[in-house]
Order: sequence, then structure tokens, then C-alpha cells
Amino acid sequence: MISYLIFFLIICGIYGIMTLGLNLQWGYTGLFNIGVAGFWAVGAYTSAILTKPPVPEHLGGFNLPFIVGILAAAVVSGIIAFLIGIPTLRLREDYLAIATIGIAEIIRLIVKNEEWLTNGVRGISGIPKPFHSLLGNAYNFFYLILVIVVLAIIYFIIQRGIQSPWGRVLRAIREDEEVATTAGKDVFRYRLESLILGAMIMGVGGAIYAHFTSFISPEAFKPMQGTFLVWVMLIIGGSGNSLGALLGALITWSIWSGTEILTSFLPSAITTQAAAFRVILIGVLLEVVLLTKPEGLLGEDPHVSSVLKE
Amino acid sequence: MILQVKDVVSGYGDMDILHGISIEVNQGEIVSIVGPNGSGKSTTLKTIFGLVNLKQGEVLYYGDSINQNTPDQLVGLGLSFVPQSDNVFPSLTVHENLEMGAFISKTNKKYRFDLIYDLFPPLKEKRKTQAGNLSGGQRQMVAFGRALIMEPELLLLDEPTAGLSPLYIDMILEKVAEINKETGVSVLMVEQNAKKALKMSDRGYVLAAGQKKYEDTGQALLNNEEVAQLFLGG
Amino acid sequence: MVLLLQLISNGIILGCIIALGSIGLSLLYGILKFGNFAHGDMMTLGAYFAFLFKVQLGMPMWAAFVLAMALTAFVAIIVDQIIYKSLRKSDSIILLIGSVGIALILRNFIQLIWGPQNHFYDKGIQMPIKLGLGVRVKPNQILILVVTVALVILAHLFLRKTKMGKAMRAMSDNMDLAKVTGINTEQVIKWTWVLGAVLTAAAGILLGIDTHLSPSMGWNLLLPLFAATILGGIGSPYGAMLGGLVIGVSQELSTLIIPPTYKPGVAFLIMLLMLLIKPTGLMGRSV
Ligand SMILES: Nc1ncnc2c1ncn2[C@@H]1O[C@H](COP(=O)(O)OP(=O)(O)O)[C@@H](O)[C@H]1O
Ligand SMILES: [Mg+2]
Repeated sequence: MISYLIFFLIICGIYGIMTLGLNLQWGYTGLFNIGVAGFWAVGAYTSAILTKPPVPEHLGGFNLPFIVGILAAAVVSGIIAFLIGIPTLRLREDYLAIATIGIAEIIRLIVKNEEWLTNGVRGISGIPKPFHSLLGNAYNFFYLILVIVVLAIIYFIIQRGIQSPWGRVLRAIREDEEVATTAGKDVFRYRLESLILGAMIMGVGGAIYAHFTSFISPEAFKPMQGTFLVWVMLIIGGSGNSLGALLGALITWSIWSGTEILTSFLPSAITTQAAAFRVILIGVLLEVVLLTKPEGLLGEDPHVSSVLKE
Repeated sequence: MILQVKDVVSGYGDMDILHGISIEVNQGEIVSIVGPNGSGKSTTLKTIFGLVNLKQGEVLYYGDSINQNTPDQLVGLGLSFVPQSDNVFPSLTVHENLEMGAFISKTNKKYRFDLIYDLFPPLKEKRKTQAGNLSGGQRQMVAFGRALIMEPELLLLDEPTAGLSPLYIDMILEKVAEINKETGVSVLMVEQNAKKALKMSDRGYVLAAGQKKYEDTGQALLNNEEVAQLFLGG
Repeated sequence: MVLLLQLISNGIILGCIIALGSIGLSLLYGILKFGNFAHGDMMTLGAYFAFLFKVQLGMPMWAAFVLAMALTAFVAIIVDQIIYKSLRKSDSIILLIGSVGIALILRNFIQLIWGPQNHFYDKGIQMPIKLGLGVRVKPNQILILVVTVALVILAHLFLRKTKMGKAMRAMSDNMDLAKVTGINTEQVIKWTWVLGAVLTAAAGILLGIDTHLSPSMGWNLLLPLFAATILGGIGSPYGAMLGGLVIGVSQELSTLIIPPTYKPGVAFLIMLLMLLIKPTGLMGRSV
């Protein structure tokens, strides 16, 4: 029971990291990224390839330390965000949405097809778990602490950033782009920075995920688990509020995995049906929140909405 | 009295633009609203037409409140509105623009279109041209035609001569007078060419900063020295 | 040379399906000002409704086709009234998020009812017909072309000749003016959903005829649909038709130089290029 709780909290924490990254992009800057799964995959594969011992099937085997893997995951995700941001951030917000869906799809195709790099659909296994040999049974508990530490660092960085002059400009842009432009702010640059930083956070989340599960394959980065759950978490918790984002991750993941436990008691013949039913449930939850409480459970951080009145 | 605007407060979002405006239009009158840019003239017309949130006060049409009516219901009641800019559908032909004016009509009454083409002969030969390809003056004719096709009883015009050449300005204003005289439609008009507008108006209002500053007959406002100095450019 | 012609002919078939889907997407985008991310899954729904009528209830294909289009339109109106109508008051991006949720619900509803496996309208295998120059097409593909052309002509007549169609174009031009003009915008929105749903359901059924049915068949086409819409210019149904053909043919031709698994990426690249060069699209107005 305890071990399940720890496992649950680890996954929840990883989703929390994703939701914080998305909150920076959408909640604070108004950037509509529905390619979260793509950045997640990039982070996971980057770290996996860099830190694994050599294998004949695919690239990798650099045996680099865990921390290097994580940093590299952030950097590569950031670079991809940079490339996608250049052509789309000057355009309407919904074009970014379509573009990010496209990039996530292309990343998935690459992961699936470029076997020399990612071992294709067979996935990458044996991703090192840091300090695993030292800790043995207590390993998951250690990993939970690690996830919480990473989460705390990211949370702290975002809160600092949001309350800095940089963050104030971000919010001003989100509220009213024209005003920000007339105030002489390079709107494009600020948006790009937010997109990149958010993507780097997602990359870190992806790396943490890979080292926890020790195995990744294209299946793990389908839009449902990779992107939509993160969105639902953010909307439910309250976009523009980092605490809300974390709360949303906790609630949504509880529902998602809680229903998984419930449906696991069903006869195996209808498990795919049950899985579909769970997704419908999440979808309905999203619509209900949009219709009845569009600001989410916690609503927007008061810092955020007061920005124009300052 | 066909239209009565009573102590109206309205605006965009939390911001109030009109601070208690009262305006009246009697049957058959031409009434002008003049005033500096940003004084709330367009907002007044939009509020009457239900396009801006009415926060206080009342708009009465033939004595009945129309506060809750949607724009298409107002068109059905006999109101009609020509907005200040973007007042034609550019990708629709001239004729299709007129048809849209008659959207609420169940039957396709051809004589109505003939009336409009008689009123604005240049439109007749352009009836299959996309409105976006017309000159400014022709576009204004299309906008008028669209607004007149349901034979309204009250016509709201927002700066019908904005951006037109002097030749067209006089022509359009003369058309307004002509339509008013021949069809008996009452007109509430916002105009930048304040002197010309007041000259042809039965009555006029001067708005500034969302408040009514003066109200009188058109001629009296023209003769009022204060008004002339402050609002009519001396 | 033969290969080239064969790819172009395959591309036209795919282009027909994309074009049918993106006409409605473009109109909805132009009028409601939001990208309907559930459009691909509405396509899937149409295909499965036809499966229900044809295979499960044993009706003739033409009847299944018509009934499926009608039922999809009905679902679209219901969803609009329950979800989108209330969300219309808020920012358009909220509508977009709402449509992502609808996409999920539809796709999984289909999976719940009809299962994750592939389905077929017809188990038989068709012998290809040889056209000139060594190009082969299946009789079904000719059917797809004919049905598409017929539907496009009907859609054209609807948009040009009926009051409702003209009002759709008017609303796509200028929503505020449409309201002022006295157009009953809510009514027109309903009809826009009907038109969009009917066409996209047809696209789904034709795709099912060409290949097979699967719960993600429409979702997988979403990117090409948006690419065609943006390529043609948002709000321009004629642009969407053109965009659909261009995307379909380019996707097939791309297999000459890149592995076929990357076909969906081609639509994405064309879309990005268009956004960079001329964001208003080939036949669009300013956005
Ligand atoms: N859509 C709008 N949203 C917010 N403020 C507006 C809007 N339209 C006009 N305003 C503001 O309302 C005030 C009055 O505008 P308007 O009625 O158009 O003036 P006028 O027609 O007399 O020139 C102006 O300060 C203008 O900036
Ligand atoms: Mg004005």
C-alpha cells in the first residue's frame, strides 16, 4: 500500500513538473502549446541515450552521469522550442496550437521510425536508475524525494521569474499585447523566452520520467497521456497559478489512476472499453470545468490579474 | 416619439463611456449627434442597437423598452443601423449585400431591390461586383441600401460621410434628406461635418466626454456662439 | 513517369477526402473564429455511423451514407448547443480547448461502442482498373472522386444560391455587421455545423471505403485538414478545396524523396511555409 502511494506520488510529481511548464507557457504567457508530449519525449530520449551504457541496437551508450542527462534534456527541448517558436510566435495564438500538434506528431514519427537513434517501436530499456544499487528497496522513496526536490526548484524558479520585471512583462503581454508593444517591449522575444523555458521544464520532466521507469517507447508519448492529461490538470487547477497547477495534477492523476484501479477489477474482455470510458470521463470533466468554473479550482494568482492595474 | 434614450450609462467591460445620456427622436425627424472624437457618439448608437452593454437607464422604441432585444429582433421592429466603418460584406456581391439586409424577410420582395437601385443608380450596374472592390462612396451606398431594404422606421447612421471625397459628402447627405422626406423614415445621425449635419437636422445634440452638453434645434445650435466656438471650429 | 502519375492519382483521392473535411473546418473557423480540433473525430464518427447502418443494420450503402451524414450533423448541433454555445461568450481559445475535449470524448465513445479494431464496409477485394499510361485505380476510388465532385458542387450551390449559404459567407466576412444587419446568427451557426458535419462525415465514409475504419482515422487526418485550411485561407471554403488537393498530392509525391511514414510531416511543413510566407493563405482575406 505504502509502496503504491509512493509510486503514485512520483508519477503525480512528474505530471506536476509538466503542468508547471505548461502553466508558464499558457497560464502566464498565453501560449497555446498542445505538443507537451513531444517535449516530454525529447527530454526522455535525450537523457536515456546519453546516460545508458553502450548497446549495439541504437545510438547511445555515453554512460554520462544522470545530472548531465537531465541538463541535456532541458537544452535539447529548449532548442526545439526555439525552432518552433521562430516561425509561429508572431502569428495568432491558435496557429501555435496547430504547429505544436504538428511538431509533437513529427517527434513521435521520428521516435518510432529512426531505429538507429531510438530503437524504434521496441523502445529503449535499461535506462540507468541513479544510485539504484546503493538503495535497493528504499529506491522509490529516494526517487520521490528527488522528484519533490526538482519540483520545488522549478516551482521556486517560476515564482521568482513571475514576480520579477520579466514576469510582469509576460503577464502584460498576455493581458494586452498592444499595450505591451506600445510600451516598447519586444513581445516576440518575451514569448519565445517563455516558450523555451516552459519546454525546458517539460524536458526535465521527461528525463525524470525516463530514469524512473527505466524503459521508454513511442507508446508512452501518445497525445492522451502526454498532452491532454496535462492540459486537463492545468485547467482544473487554475491556469495562471502554480499551486493550482500542482493541485490540478494531483486531482486529475487521482481520478485517472483511481479509475484505472477500479476498472482493473473488470473482466479482461472489456478492458479496452473501460480505458475508453476513463478517457471520456476525463473529457467530460474538462467540459464541465470549462462551463462551470473556467478559472479553475484555485483561480488565477492575484499577482497575475492585477497586473494592468499596477 | 419614436425613440427615447433615458439616462443611459454604458461602456466596454468595467469602463463606463456614457455617463447618463438622454436623447429623443420624434417621428419623421432628422436628429444629429455631434461632438469631438472619442466623446461617445458611436457608443451611443451601439448601445441603442444592443451592441454595447447597457448598465443603467432605458432605451424606448415607440414607448416600449428594447433593452433586452437582440439586433436581429430590432431589425424586425423597424430599426436599422449603418456602422461607422466596415459596413459592407466585402466578399459578397452588391446584390447579396442587399439580400443580407432582408435576411429576416421570409419572402423575396423584388420591388424592394428595385427601390434601392432607383435610389442609388450606380449600384444597379455593379450588382454582381464584390463589395470589397467598390470605391468608398459606392460602398457607402451599398451600406445604405442594405440598411434601407427592410423599409425601416428609424435609421441610425454613424458618420456616413467619413473618408469620402467632398463631392460624395454632399451627395450622401442630400440622399439622407431625400430618403427622410420621401419615405418618412426618422434618422438619428452621428456626423463629423457638424455644420452641414446640423443645417439639415431638425434637432441636434452635442456630446463631450460621454455627457450631453447641448441640445436644441439644428439651427439654434448653429447660431449658438459657445457651441460654434467649442465644437464647430469657430 | 508511371510512378509519378500513379502518385498524383493517389494524391487526388486523398486530396478529395482532405478537401471535404477542410471545407467545413474552414467555414467554422471563419465564422466562429476557432479551430475545431474535434473535426477529425467528427469525420470518424460519420464513418462509423455509416458502418452501423450498412454493416450492422444491413442497409444499402447510399442510404447508410445519407443517414450517417444526417446523424453526424445532429450530433454536431447537440454538441454546439450544450458546449460551444455557452463557451462562445469567452475567448476563442477556450472554445479550442473545449473542442479538444470533445475530440477525446468522440474518439473514445467510438472505441467504446465499436472497439479498437479495424472495420470494413466491404470485405471483398476490388480489382484495379488500368487507366492509360499504366496508372491503376480501384473502382471505389473513381466513386470517391465522383461523390466528392458532386458534394463540392452541392456545397458551392448552397453557399452561392441559398440565403443561408450567403449568410454564412457574410458572417465569415464580418460577424458584428452580420448581427447589425439582422442576420439570425445563432440559426446560421447551426446550419454551419450541419454543413461542416455533413461534409466531414462524407469524407470519413469515403476514407473508410478507400481503406478501412479505425477509431483514430480522423484524428490522424487533423493535421492535413488544418494544413489545407490554412493553405487555402481561413474562412474560404474554395481555398480549402484547393488546399486539400495540394496537401493530398504533395503528401503522396513526397514519398519519392522521403520515407512514407513521414507523410503527415509534409502537410505540417507546407503549413509552416505558408504561415511564414503568406499567413492569410492562397485565397484568404486578412485574418
Ligand atoms: N470596443 C471598444 N472597447 C473599449 N473601448 C472602446 C471601444 N470602442 C470605443 N471605445 C472607447 O470609448 C470611447 C468613445 O468611443 P466612441 O463612442 O467610438 O467615440 P466617437 O464615436 O464619439 O468618436 C473612446 O475613448 C474609445 O477609446
Ligand atoms: Mg465614432
